[in-house]
Amino acid sequence: MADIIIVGGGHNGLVAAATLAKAGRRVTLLERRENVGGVCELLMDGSTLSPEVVKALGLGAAEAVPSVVAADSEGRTLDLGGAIDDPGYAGWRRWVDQVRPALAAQLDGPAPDIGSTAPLMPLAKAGLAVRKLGKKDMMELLRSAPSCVNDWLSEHLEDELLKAALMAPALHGTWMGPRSPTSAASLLLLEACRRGVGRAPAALATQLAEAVRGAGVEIETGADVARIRVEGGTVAGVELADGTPIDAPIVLSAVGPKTTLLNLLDPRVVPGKTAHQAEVIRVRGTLARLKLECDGAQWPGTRLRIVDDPLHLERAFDDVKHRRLPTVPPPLEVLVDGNIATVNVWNAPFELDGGWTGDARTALTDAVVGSLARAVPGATDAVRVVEVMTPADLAQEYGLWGGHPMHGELALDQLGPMRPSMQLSRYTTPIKGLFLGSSGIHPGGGISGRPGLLAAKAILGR
Amino acid sequence: MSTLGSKSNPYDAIVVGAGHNGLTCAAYLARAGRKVLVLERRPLVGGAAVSESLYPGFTYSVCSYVVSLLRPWIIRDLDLVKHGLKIVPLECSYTPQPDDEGLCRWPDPDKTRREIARLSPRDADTYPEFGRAVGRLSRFVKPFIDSPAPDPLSLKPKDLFQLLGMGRAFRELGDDLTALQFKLTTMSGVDFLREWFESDQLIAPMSCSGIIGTFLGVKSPGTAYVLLHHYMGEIDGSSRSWGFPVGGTGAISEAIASSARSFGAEIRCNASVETITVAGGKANGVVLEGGDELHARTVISGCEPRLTFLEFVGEDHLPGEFTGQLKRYKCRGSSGKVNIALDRWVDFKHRPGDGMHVRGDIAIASSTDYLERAYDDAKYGDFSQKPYINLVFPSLLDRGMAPPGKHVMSCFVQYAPYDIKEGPSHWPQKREAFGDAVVNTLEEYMPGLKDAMLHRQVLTPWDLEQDFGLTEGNIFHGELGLEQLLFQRPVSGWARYKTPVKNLWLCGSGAHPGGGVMGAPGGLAAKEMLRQGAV
Repeated sequence: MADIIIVGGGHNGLVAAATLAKAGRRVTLLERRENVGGVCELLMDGSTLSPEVVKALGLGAAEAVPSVVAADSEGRTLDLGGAIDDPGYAGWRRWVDQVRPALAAQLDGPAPDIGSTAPLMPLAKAGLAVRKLGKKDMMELLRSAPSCVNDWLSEHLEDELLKAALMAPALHGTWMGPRSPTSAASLLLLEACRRGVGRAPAALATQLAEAVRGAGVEIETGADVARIRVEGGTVAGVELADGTPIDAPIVLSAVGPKTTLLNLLDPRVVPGKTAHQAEVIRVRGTLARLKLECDGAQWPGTRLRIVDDPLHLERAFDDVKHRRLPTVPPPLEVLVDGNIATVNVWNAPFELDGGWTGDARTALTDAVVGSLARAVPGATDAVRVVEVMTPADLAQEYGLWGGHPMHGELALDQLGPMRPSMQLSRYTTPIKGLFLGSSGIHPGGGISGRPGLLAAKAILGR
Repeated sequence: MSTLGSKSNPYDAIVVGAGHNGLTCAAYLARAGRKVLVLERRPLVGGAAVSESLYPGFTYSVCSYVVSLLRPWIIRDLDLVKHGLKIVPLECSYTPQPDDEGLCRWPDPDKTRREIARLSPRDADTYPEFGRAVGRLSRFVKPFIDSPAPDPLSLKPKDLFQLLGMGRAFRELGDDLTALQFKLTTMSGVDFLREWFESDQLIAPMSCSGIIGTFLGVKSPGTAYVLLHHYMGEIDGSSRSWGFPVGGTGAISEAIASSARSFGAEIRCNASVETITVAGGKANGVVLEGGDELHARTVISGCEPRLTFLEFVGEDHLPGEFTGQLKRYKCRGSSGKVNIALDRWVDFKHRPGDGMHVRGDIAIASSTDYLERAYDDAKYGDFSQKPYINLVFPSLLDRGMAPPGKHVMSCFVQYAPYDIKEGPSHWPQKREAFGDAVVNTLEEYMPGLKDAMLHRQVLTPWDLEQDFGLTEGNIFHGELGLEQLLFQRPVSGWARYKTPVKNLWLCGSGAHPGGGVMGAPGGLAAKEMLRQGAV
């Protein structure tokens, strides 16, 4: 019998599994799909993995990440890794680098307990880390973080393409446009965890799987967990969709908190308050993914960000907000490998009015190809659509509630001690033996591996 | 003529601007025995809290039109009831729908419950619970608006004690309310309300109070807080009630002015301040349009901070960093006002009559999508073709506002962005088109409205700036965004009414705790100055 069952083989599940196995626990990891890695393969930024995770799992060295090239519809390109001649850029970058350690420190440990039952100390400690910044930086942080990313960047920068290229990834996983207040905080967080080196997300999944197997974890793929069994308020194990029971005194769920608490548990064992907290987690997905074969395209780089300016991002968000198909050529994130372009569209609402029908899928594809053609010469000459995954497809394929790849929108009220709620942000649940460790828990979002690592530590520290 | 105000015999304080905050500040200082002069550019006191008769027999509350946040301690201290203040409560919050009778929320919980139950029985059950939770939170927040802003970076014992008190208050809230408070300060109004309610027809009007005066939509993060701001009001100690001042909003200003005069303050209208004079880093008086100089030991500005510093004082007298921060202070106006004189009562299509349902505020806010579309127009530099409108019929609450059988109708309209795409100075050419958009929208709910109109006054953000000194037409003297509240209002490090210019203080809505007809910035500034012996 395993000591611990991990539900879900996404990157957080893998990190948790390796960490626990390395500490001598017998771990069984159950993954519904045929291969592990989960949504890792959907995301494109592999430079946000936590150095602590790398160390804990003994992963190999990272590689320099190819820089993103921004391209607008007028044919202008801007290499974000190259020299940037906006007069305000150096100053902005310097300030971000200055506050980076204080912000990163907030992500390295469990969220402070801001509730009334715990002592105020952890909160004071978190406060102190930020206070080390000095009065001026601290005030600047308190002023900029709640503002909207467009205002914040506009205070410093002039180049509209540069602004859009910097802010676009900060909006991924949010339900915001560049004019939404608090979107500056998302950019600050992203900058805090991003490094110049990283791993291609697909390669990362392979590396993590190797580390997990090397640590002696038993990985079962094609194992669809139908429910988490609870007996007398304590976890007893899980039951697979085919009825097979697997026993363990501890279950760590590395799938989203909504799925865990509302789908995998018998409603009778979830306290009403906890169920409510899970119900109100906002998970409005906006991601669609396409694979296109384009012969004859003249790609300006291998990692592209196709966007015009902040206004373009705002209009694209309006489409999300009104639950409609693109009314503007959607901004795109593109990974180029030979003549295959993998495209992420972050403005495709899961909640599309009328649903993701065949027509909607075609309209989305046309919009994406059109957007690509505006910025990349030759991109429409010979396009073959290899694959289209709408938000509804992603939800189905990866088991994402609302089609949200981070199991919870990135928003100030769903971050830190509030991710996913004040009572659930420190990996434990009201059910004895049940732990949460997905991207939906602090400090989730992007590919960091931290929620998995911290959840494993919470189990080990019991 | 008195020599008061000369160089050798200066006033103790000159207050620039006779808005309700300037007047409140002056009244408190005069009450403490100081020689105070209030200067007002317009021919009457009140600033944006003013009643004017622009059409014979009809009185408009030209800008601000209802009241709830006026602090009870100010009413008490300044004896405003004796000076004529009388507030009648609003009877209802009515949200008409284009195709059905819409929703009325009444002071009577049972009546409200029956109305909401038609939309959603579950929401009807939740509604009182929501009211209790938010009510508890507003009691928690109230001390913040009734005392100077806390300073999170100060190590002075007094400030630490204040912070500690806040921490303790937080803990007394308990987990659930602490989480709620956190959500309230960061979420959008709609997201916040959706955690409680399912009916969009209920959520839409409730979310509106979160966008008043902001350049944000009901689905923009941070708008839930302003919602609380509107929940905090009280009349006669009963929370959450909104009221209408008899005689219009100007009557509030008149009462405060009368109180100030009774304590010996001098108030001069048609006196437009051009410069706040600064010598050796110290403010010492003002120069009026026309060249008159007046001297004072202290100058207090009730005007918006950017106007105060960049226009009246001048950058030369300010630290560069302060100026930089001030220039980033966001004042984007987003609303306009249309005041209408009616020849006769005009029925709402699906709830006719001039009964209780229209003796309150009426929101044109049929759905959250409707409100967001209104915001979309404004985001790209245009006024809303189908705006959010908050309507009040003051003549139903106070017969003195219009001749018998006739009515005045006050329409607060959002969105009207100051920065339209043609440029703000083009507003005068768009003014009537904006007015038409409002009237056309209302005509859908009130057929026959156009025929009954005798007169219409349209105020665009440009007019609010030109006529009332509201920078960019922002009704709160600066947006009530998270980054511009508490210790950051208007500029971090200068949130306690004091400014980098010695002897120059702020007492308007651009200071903590911000806008609305509260009087708190004026009252708190005066108290702070007296406490510090600054005047």
